[in-house]
Amino acid sequence: MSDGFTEIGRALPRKEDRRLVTGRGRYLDDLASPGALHVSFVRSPHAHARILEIDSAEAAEMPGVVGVFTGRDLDHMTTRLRLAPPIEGLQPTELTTLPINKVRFHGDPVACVVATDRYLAEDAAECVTVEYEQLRAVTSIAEAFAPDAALVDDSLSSNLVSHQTLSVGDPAARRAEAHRVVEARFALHRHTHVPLETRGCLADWDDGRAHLNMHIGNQVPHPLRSQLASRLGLSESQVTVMSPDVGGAFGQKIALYREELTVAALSRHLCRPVRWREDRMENLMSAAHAREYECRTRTSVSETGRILGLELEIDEDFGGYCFYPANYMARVIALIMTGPYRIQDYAYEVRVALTNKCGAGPMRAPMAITSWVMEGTIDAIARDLELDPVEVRRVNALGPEDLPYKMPTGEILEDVTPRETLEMAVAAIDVAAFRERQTQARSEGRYLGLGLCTVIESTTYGSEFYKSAGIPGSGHESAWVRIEPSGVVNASVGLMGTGQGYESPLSQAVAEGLGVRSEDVTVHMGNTDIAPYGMGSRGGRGATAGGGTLYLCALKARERVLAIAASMLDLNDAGGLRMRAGQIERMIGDDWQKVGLALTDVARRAYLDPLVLPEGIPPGLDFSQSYDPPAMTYSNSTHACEVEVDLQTGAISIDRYLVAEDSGTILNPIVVSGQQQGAIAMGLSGALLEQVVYDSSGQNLSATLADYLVASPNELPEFEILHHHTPNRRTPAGIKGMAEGGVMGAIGVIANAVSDALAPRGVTIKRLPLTPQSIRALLREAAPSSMKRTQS
Amino acid sequence: MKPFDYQRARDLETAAEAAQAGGRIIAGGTNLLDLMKLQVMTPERLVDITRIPGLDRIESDGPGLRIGALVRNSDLSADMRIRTGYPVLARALLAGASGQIRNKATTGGNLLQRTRCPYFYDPAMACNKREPGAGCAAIGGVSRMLAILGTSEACRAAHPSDMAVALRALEAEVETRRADGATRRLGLDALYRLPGERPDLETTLEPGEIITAVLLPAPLPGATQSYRKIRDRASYAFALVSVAAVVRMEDARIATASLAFGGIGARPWKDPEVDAMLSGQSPSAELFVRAADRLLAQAETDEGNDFKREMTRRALIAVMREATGLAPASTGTDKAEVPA
Amino acid sequence: MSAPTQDPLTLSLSVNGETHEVRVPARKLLSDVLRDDIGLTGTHVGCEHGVCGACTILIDGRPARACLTFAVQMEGHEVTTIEAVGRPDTLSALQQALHEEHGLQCGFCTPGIVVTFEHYLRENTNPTAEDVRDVLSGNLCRCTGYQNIVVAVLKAAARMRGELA
Repeated sequence: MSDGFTEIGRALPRKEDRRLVTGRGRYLDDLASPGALHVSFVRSPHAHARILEIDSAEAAEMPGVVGVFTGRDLDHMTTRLRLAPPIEGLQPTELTTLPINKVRFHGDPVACVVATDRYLAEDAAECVTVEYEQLRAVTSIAEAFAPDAALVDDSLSSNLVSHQTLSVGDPAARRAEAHRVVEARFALHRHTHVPLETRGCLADWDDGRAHLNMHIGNQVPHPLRSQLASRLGLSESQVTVMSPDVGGAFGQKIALYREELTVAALSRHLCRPVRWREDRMENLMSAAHAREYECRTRTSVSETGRILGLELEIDEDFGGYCFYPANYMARVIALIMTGPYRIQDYAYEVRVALTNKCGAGPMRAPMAITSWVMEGTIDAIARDLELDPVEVRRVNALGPEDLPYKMPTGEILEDVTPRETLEMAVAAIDVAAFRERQTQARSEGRYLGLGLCTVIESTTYGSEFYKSAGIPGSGHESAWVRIEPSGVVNASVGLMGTGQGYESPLSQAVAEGLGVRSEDVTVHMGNTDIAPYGMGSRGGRGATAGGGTLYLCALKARERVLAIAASMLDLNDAGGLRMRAGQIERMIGDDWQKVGLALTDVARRAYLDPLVLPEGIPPGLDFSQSYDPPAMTYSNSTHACEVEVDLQTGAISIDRYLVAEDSGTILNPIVVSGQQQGAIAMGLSGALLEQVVYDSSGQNLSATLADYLVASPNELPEFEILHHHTPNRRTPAGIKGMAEGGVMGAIGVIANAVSDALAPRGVTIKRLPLTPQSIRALLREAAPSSMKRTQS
Repeated sequence: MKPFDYQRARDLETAAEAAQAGGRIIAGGTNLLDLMKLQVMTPERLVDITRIPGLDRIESDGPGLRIGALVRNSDLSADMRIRTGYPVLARALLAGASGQIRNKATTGGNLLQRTRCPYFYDPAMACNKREPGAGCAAIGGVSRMLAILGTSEACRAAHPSDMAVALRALEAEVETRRADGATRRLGLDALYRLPGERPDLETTLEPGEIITAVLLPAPLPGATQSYRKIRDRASYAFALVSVAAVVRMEDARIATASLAFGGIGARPWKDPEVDAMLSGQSPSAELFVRAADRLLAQAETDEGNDFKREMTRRALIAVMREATGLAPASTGTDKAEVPA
Repeated sequence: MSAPTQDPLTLSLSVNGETHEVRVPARKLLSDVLRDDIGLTGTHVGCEHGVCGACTILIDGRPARACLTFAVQMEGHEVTTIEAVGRPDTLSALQQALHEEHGLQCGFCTPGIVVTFEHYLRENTNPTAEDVRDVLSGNLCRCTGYQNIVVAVLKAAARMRGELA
């Protein structure tokens, strides 16, 4: 990397690995807690039903059972979750810790059994009998908005829990003057996160100190602590959240879930440690779901395919409960939809429906559908006008001359390179040669397709974003750096890794700022008594907010270290000094030369001989820093993918996959490439295989990993990654953040590639997933006559 | 999981007695454990037969092979006699599960594994197979994984085994020991019942009767064997459609054909009429289409699984093309095979 | 038949070459006994249905799912877990390659993958990428997209053959 960094940009293998590859990681369920009680939740077998009576008498008498607790019991121990941010069109909601009057989805927890052993708790949970009165289930967006729909939330007047519109410029006028108006539809199906480690927690109430120790694998320890304290009626001083190694999260481990709050409340109530580990069926049915959207675009275009105006409708199926404000995810989609393209006349309408399904939450790339919608729209324009889809992209793409670019929603794009990554991808995949192969293959009855998908990935989310979105919360981050008397460096930040591998890259940010080797830095995360109050890990903010804050904090530390060093060298100031690998160097002539003074010497003086420190310099080497990054930073990329579709089976094989990506300054290329590959894999797995299935009565039919299919290595291609490097000028060290764009690009590029392959058969992909049977169904719909012979 | 008593059987007599008294036989346990965790099955006593000597061998049986009921799927698929003489079986086993599962799953257990119907798997839903007379929530429900042949008004579940499909194509038999000590041999058609009104009764095994071996006839000289499985994911996904074929050619004609199908039948599916139709004929696309029509003539589908008709038809045609050496259609694959 | 007893059985299990006496009910899974009763928490439970492979251990030297095994059935068999493969300061060739090639992220699936391939590479010294993907299909990984795991296994194989330093 060309920015003169010595630690940032190093391909340093991850510090976490040694414990994890040897089975010595400590995940939640690995923590020993002698005498801990275990819980098991009784869950609703119905999608929508009134709770008439809960009979726990038999269960309470069973061996090992300590107690059975219902929504009414928990209502005395906890406060309710009220979500009522001042956002126009968003209905306020309130929910109890466990349901009291009715259940709203298949898998809703209705009671909690506490026993001395997990097996016994599960035995007893089966003996809790709940009498229900079944209600009509709402299982789709269309049903939710039907005039006679059953109400999912009885306190609301309809199932439309959130409704926002925006119009910028004059899209109607553009429509009137357009050469053509192109309409396109996109339906993304319900996904779930599937971290390999399910949810769980170990709550340990210390009655003497009146203090709760909460061990929980979570992405946002401090916000979680605030919420936990508030809902238990405790102060933040009375709660410590400790997050051990976490086996993946992908957005599923942000909210304080009802089960976790229940466990914490019961530990306090019983004055015993209480633990819960979710089983896989519970995780698939009732943790959190994501991504279920229906989108429509109407685009006004000129003869050359130039987009004059874009109108977007988004409907989201939010499930039965709001664990997040219901506008939260769809808002970002609408906000960044125009992404890599020059569009100023833009309107959107976003409607969010409550249904009798598991509640929705953010999942790695909460705005995942965005790039498919925009890039699928571009392809629709190309088809409609019979233009080359690459040309339509070129005609509309933002180039260097357009930057900084104010999107119609007011978002500012700068230091992004969508046109450059497009050209890199087009050149690398050699579109012209592909078209020749495609023509040849078609003449042999084989169907090849090429997809392109350019992504503008919103990352970081500074507090300005939260404020303008009306969401309570902040996007700033905090860090401390402490050089110990021996000269080793400890640091901490409010992030919490869940597999990203923060320990090396964040050490590198500290090492770069301070002037030591990354190997000599230890970063502590996940304990709220140790880490400063930060906003945790979400929305691609780890590098920018976390790394950026640590870097700034380390710069502050370096300044002090050099000042002390200067005094030890009898210099007037630190102007000609620097530190590299923990050694003080001085500019002599044109060269940096070691002066025989090391960080250990400076540290010893700061701690053990403070009286001789220069005036105004306090003892010790302890620093803290907070930093509020820009409202949003943006990475960008272009994905390109070649597929072959087997018309016989409907199977899709991916022949080649590449991505040209610009993620700005990279702290650690090993970790970044791993995030790129993992994100693409998650996107492809979701687009090709995964699907949460509810039947028309609201029964979840995808509650095991044999039914909810996650890609195995045989379904995924090799990923080729091309790097482009444009640092962000507004962030420390030029960091942008990344790790979600791969999901966005993968969904769009595979859908576009399959549409391209099947174009001769009159098929366009409007709905995911692309399972063999859905491809076959599309082919049959497109050519109904070919099926006649099989109808018996 | 419900508590149970555990008993280790030292020989077949004690196993049979325990089974007759209501004990449930366990060997590798890969399917049974899963079902017990979900409380789809709640045996009060498990009879572990893995210590019974002599059941874990693959031996010559005249010109054929005798596969002990406790032979692990991994050992069976790796056995040179199987790989050379019965490749369709080896391929079906390898398509069936991950190596970790194959290392535990046994031959007898594989034959007796239960359906993967999601409604069977969820005790909260009505299922006649789990609870006779309870009704069938699958009818009118999501039917993607359900059978289209041999189903009844009481049950639409598909049989999940890949191995059994290959065994049907190979015309294998099972050897059992009845509770009274007598042994019998029966073909897989006689082993598996159709659901009818009692889908809970899946086999004709009597109480206390234990499968002791699978008997393979001598390999058919000169025959081509193939196995094709279509599924959603390469690993741990059950077949949407699978086809096993043993086909012998003679003078460019199909001398004999034995086809069996998975994923579409209430039991591993075989239609003697389809085999008879193909035998003695010259291979052609038209012939295969007619065979598929015959196979599917009685199929009952709904919107959720009617794709299986087309998928089965195409899988049959592809396997027969491969087995007979008939060149794949060079252009417009679709049209050539599906005349209007 | 009378109701099943809840009383624990005394089992003698051989794990990683050591004999452990445990008192557990018949229904207790091997994965739970390894983790709760013997204290070997490297064997992870990811799905409880034999799909994900995180709980892979060796039974008599062959990979199997600990979550689909009753501990009581393991008497007389030798069980090997991840704890018998390498240590943080002395990684096996495979573990070292996974570290170098970034073949893990959250690490939850990793012990199962290590156990699977420690066994596989003993019997298959020169696999292709396709072979590795095929064997790996018994282990789900949600983080990596598998590519770096494949690279790491091939690298470990090359090292074990002495073709790579």
